[in-house]
Amino acid sequence: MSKDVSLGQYYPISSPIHRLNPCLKLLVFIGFIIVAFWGISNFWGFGFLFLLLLVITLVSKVPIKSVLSSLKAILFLVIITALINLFFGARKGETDPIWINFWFIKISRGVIVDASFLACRLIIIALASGLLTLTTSPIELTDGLEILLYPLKLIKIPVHTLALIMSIALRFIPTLTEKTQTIMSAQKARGSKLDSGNFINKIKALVPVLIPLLIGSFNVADQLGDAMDARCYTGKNRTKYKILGFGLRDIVSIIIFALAITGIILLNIFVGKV
Amino acid sequence: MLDPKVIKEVLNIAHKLNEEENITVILITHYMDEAVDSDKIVVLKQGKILNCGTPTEIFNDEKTLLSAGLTFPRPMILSKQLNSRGINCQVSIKKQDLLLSLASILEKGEYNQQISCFANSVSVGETVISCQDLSYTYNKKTKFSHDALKDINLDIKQGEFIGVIGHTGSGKSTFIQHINRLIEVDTGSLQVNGLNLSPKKRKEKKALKQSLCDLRKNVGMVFQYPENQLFGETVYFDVSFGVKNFMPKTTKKQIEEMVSVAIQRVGLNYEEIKEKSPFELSGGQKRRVAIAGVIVTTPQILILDEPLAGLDPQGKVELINLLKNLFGKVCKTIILISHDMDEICQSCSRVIAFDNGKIALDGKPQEVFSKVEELKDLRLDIPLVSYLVQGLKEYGININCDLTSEGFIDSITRGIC
Ligand SMILES: Nc1ncnc2c1ncn2[C@@H]1O[C@H](COP(=O)(O)OP(=O)(O)OP(=O)(O)O)[C@@H](O)[C@H]1O
Ligand SMILES: [Mg+2]
Repeated sequence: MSKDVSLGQYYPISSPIHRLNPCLKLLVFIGFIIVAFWGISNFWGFGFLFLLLLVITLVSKVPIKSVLSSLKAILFLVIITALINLFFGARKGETDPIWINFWFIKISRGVIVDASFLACRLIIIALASGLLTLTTSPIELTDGLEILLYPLKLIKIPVHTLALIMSIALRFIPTLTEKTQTIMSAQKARGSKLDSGNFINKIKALVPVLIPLLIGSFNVADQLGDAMDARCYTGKNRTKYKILGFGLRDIVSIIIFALAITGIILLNIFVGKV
Repeated sequence: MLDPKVIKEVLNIAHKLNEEENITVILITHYMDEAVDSDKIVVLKQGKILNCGTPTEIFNDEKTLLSAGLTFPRPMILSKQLNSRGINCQVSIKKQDLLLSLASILEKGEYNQQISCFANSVSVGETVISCQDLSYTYNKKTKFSHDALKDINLDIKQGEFIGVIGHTGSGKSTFIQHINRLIEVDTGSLQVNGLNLSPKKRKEKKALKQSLCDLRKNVGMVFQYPENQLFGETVYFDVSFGVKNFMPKTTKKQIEEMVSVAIQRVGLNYEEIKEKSPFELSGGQKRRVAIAGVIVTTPQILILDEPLAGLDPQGKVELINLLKNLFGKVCKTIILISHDMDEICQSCSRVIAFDNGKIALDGKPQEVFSKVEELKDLRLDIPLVSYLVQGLKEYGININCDLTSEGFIDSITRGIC
C-alpha cells in the first residue's frame, strides 16, 4: 500500500539478505558494532569493513543510494564529534608529531588519526543499521528482538507483551498519520492557521488537531481491545503466523559472516604490524 | 466507507457462511436493503427489543418500525408510493419482486414523464470551477508513488448540484481537496471562483497566498465522518471556530447571530444545544454540528465527502433534505460524494463518475445511470429506479423518465390513465 509509513524505510524486495532470519541479522549487526569499536585499530581494518558492507549491499539488491542516505541523519554528529576529538583529544605522553601549530591550536598526527577513526566507526554503525532496517521489516525486527530478549523472561520481564506493544505501535503509525492528516485538512478548511501564520499561531492551531486525535486514538484503542477480547486474547500460548525459520541459508551465512569478520580482525592485526 | 461492490462482497461472504457452513450470522446494519435478506430481524430501541420477526413481518408493522426511527426498504417505499397513486403493484421488500409485479400489471408500450423534478429548478450560472489536465501523484519520485488523478478536465457551473461517484480509491477525495487547495496543484491548471490555483508567475503565487483565506471561506468542505473533527468545549465554541478564523473582525454579537442561524439551519435547537459539549451528542447530531461549523460562514460552494456514511435511515433523509434546503439559498453550488446511488440519482442535477483517477462518466443522472454496463465495469451499483426501468424494458415496457422516483411514478401513472 502506498500510504504505508509503517514500513519505515524498509525496502520491500526479495533478496538473500531480506530472507535471512532477523535474529541473525540483529546478531550480525551487534557483531559489527563490537568489531568496529573494539576490534579494529587501523585504516586497513576499516577499509575491509566498508568492503564487507558493500558486498552485503550488493547481495541485498538495495540501491547504494538508499543505504548512503542513512548517513544523512548522523552526518552532523560525525562532524561534531570528529571536531571535538580534533581539538580536545590530544594524546599525552607519546612522541606525536605536531602537524598544525596555529595560535592556540595544536593538532598532532595522532589526534587526526583518532578523530578519523571515530568518524569511521560512527559511519560504519550508521551504514550497518541502515542496511538492517532496509532489509528487515519492522515486524520482523520486533519478532527478532523478542527472541533475542527471551532470556529476560527468566527474570520475569514480560518480553512478549513488550514485543506486542511494539508491533501494535508500529501497526498504528499509518492509521494515526492518516487520521492526523484528515483532521488537519478539516481544520484548515475551517480557516485554521496551520500552514500560514507565525510560530505562535501555528502552536495555537495545534489544539483543534490534538483534541480530536486524542479522542480518536482512545476509540481505536478501545476497539482494538474489544477485538482482542472477542478472540480470547490472553497473551499465553500465542503462536506465530510467520514462523521464523533457521534454515541452511542462515547457517551458511552465519559461517560466512563469522569467517569474514575474523578475517578482518586478523588482517587488521597482521597488516597493522607491517 | 466501502463502495457498493465491496459491501456486496462482504455480505455475500456472510450469506455463504450461513448457507454452506451453517454458521449463525448476526448482522448489525443501518441499511434496510441489507436487512431484507435475513431470516429474522430484531429491532432495538433505547436498549429494548421493539420487534422481532421475519423481514416481511417487521416491515409490514409500520407503526413499530417508524417509532424505532427506521424506514422501509427502498422497493417498499416506491411500491407504497405507487399504490397511493392508484397503481396496484404488490408491496415488496425486494427489488426483484417489485420488478415482477410491475411487469405483470403494466401493459407494453411507452411511458413518458411530464413533470420535472427538484434539482433542475435552480438556474445554472457561470463557471465557478474549471480544471484542465489536472493530474496528481502521491509520494512523487519515491518507490511508493501513486497516480491518484490523471488528466482531469472539468467545468463546474454555479447552480449545479453535483454528485460524485466512483469505487474506493478512484480519486474522488483527492480531486475535491484540490478545490480549496488542501492539496496543491501538481500538474495541469485549476481555477476556482476566478482565482488561479496553479500559479506559474511569482506575482500570481503571492496573490494566491493572500486570497487563500478567502478561497477557503468561499469553498466549504465537509470531510468524511466530520464528527471526528469536533474539538470545542461547547457546541457554540466549535461552530464559531470558522467565523473567528475567517472573519476576525466580527463582533461577538454578530458571531452569535451567525452561529445561531447555522445551528438552526441544520435542524437543531440553538438554545438547547449551544452550551452542551459536542461529545455528549448522538452521532447524527454530532454530524449536524460539524456541518453547521462549515456552513456558518455561508460558503458559495459546499463540498461534502460521503456525508451520509454511517447515518441511520432517518438521519439520512433529514440530511439530504437539509442539503436540498441549503442549495440555492445559502450555497450556490454543491458537490456531494456518495456511494449511495439512489440518493445521488434523486438529488443531483449532474453526476460525475471517477475511475482510477479519470473521469469515466459525466452527465445528467438519467444519462449516467442508464449506462448499466459501464457502471458495472466501474464497480458501481445502479439506483433502484434505473434497475426497474432496465428490467421492464425486457418486458417491452419502455419508461422514459429522469430516473427519480417522482419521475418514475409520474410516467407510469400517465401511461395508465
Ligand atoms: N495521503 C496519501 N498518500 C498516498 N496515497 C494516497 C493518499 N491518499 C490517497 N492515496 C491514494 O490515492 C488514491 C485515491 O485516493 P482517494 O482518497 O482520492 O480515493 P477516493 O475515491 O476518495 O476513495 P474512497 O471512496 O475510499 O474515499 C488511492 O489509491 C489511495 O490509496
Ligand atoms: Mg474518499
